[in-house]
Amino acid sequence: MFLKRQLPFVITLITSLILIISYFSPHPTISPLRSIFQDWYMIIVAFTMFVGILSLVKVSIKKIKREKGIEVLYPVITLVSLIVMAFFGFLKGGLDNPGFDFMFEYIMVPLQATMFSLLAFYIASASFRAFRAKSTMATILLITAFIVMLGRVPIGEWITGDLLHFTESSFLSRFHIPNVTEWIMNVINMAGQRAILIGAALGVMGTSIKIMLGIERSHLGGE
Amino acid sequence: MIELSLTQAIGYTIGGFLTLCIFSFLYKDNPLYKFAEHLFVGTSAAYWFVTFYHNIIRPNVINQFKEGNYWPIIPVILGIFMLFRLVPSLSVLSRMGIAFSVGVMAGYQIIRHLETNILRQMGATMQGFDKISFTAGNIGNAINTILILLVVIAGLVYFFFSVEHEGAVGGVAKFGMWMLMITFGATFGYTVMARISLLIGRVLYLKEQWWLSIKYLLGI
Repeated sequence: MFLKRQLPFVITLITSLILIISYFSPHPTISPLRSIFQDWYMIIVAFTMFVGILSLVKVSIKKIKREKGIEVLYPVITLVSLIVMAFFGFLKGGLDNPGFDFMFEYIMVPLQATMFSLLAFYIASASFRAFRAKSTMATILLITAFIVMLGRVPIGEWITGDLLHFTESSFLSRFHIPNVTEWIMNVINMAGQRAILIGAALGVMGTSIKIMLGIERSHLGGE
Repeated sequence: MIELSLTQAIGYTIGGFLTLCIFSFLYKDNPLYKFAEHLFVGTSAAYWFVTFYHNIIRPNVINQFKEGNYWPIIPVILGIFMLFRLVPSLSVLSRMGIAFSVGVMAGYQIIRHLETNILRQMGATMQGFDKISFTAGNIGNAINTILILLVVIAGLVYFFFSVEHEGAVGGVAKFGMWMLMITFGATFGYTVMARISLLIGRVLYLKEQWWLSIKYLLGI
């Protein structure tokens, strides 16, 4: 019970208190603790990465034993690519090793970029559902998103520029679509994001205090 | 015209093939997509593993030990405890590493959020008021400054659930909700455009680098 509950709680409380005190204290012994603890945290995170790798290997081996036919091939691909890329990474040159660099530039980067670009198609279908003006709120969202998108493509510039000549009048130029987009992004959007940021920050601080005091224990399995 | 080396030509050809493998998912889940997906998982895991070793473990642990600083033994022990998560009988030890990491993050987040996301954001919201002016030519800026403050306050009132949203508070909260809807609309539109530009980037990759590489390899 001591190892399961009390000791982890004491470790959490002491480390978080030291970190807070070290921020406010200029004392030469306490002040550097902030960066030392952050380095230590990163070392532990690096080990958790290793836990993840071991877990991936374990799951892949299980799959190889369980699956049949072409399905066996996929976990093999995961393991082989993992071993080959890690092998190059630990050779001379490390991150700059030509083999590692080749795999990063011509395999990982195209795969990652294409995975994210695939979202363009799904976001298009999400837009179709979100952009149905069912209520006032949905209509506001629709109009804003439409203006922002229009303001970032040449046709937006063309409609109120070459077609309607809004740019020729100092008053009407305020309603030139790219200018409206810029205003939305820099005034309403920025202020809205700020409200969300402040609200979220208060939430994070509240949760952090609950963790420090041992009220929130879900990271220890809720015990 | 881009000059290609043999390595680049082979690399771009592989990259183009993998790009098409991922795009094949738009038709339906298929072996080519699964191949690319598993390759991505393997290479990404290896990339982060190697990066963490070279950027964190080597400078902060191995080099420190070589220089005679043995303090990093503490996080190393806590890190090794984390590995026991995979051994059920010893998994309780992993709680020490988790407790330390959560403690560091809790202490760090209180300071970071207080400083960056609360004080600085509040400061930036009120910054324009010291030079606010309603003279001709400055009215637009003055209105924007006031509007930013109003939107921030209304947005925060909308998130404040300790008071019931009725009467004046309800009105302000409703205004806040409208403004947040504009924010979400703008963010959504911006995200759509970002994804579309990524897609354009991939299509250009196929059209330029990949096509050129194929021609190079075929000697056309």
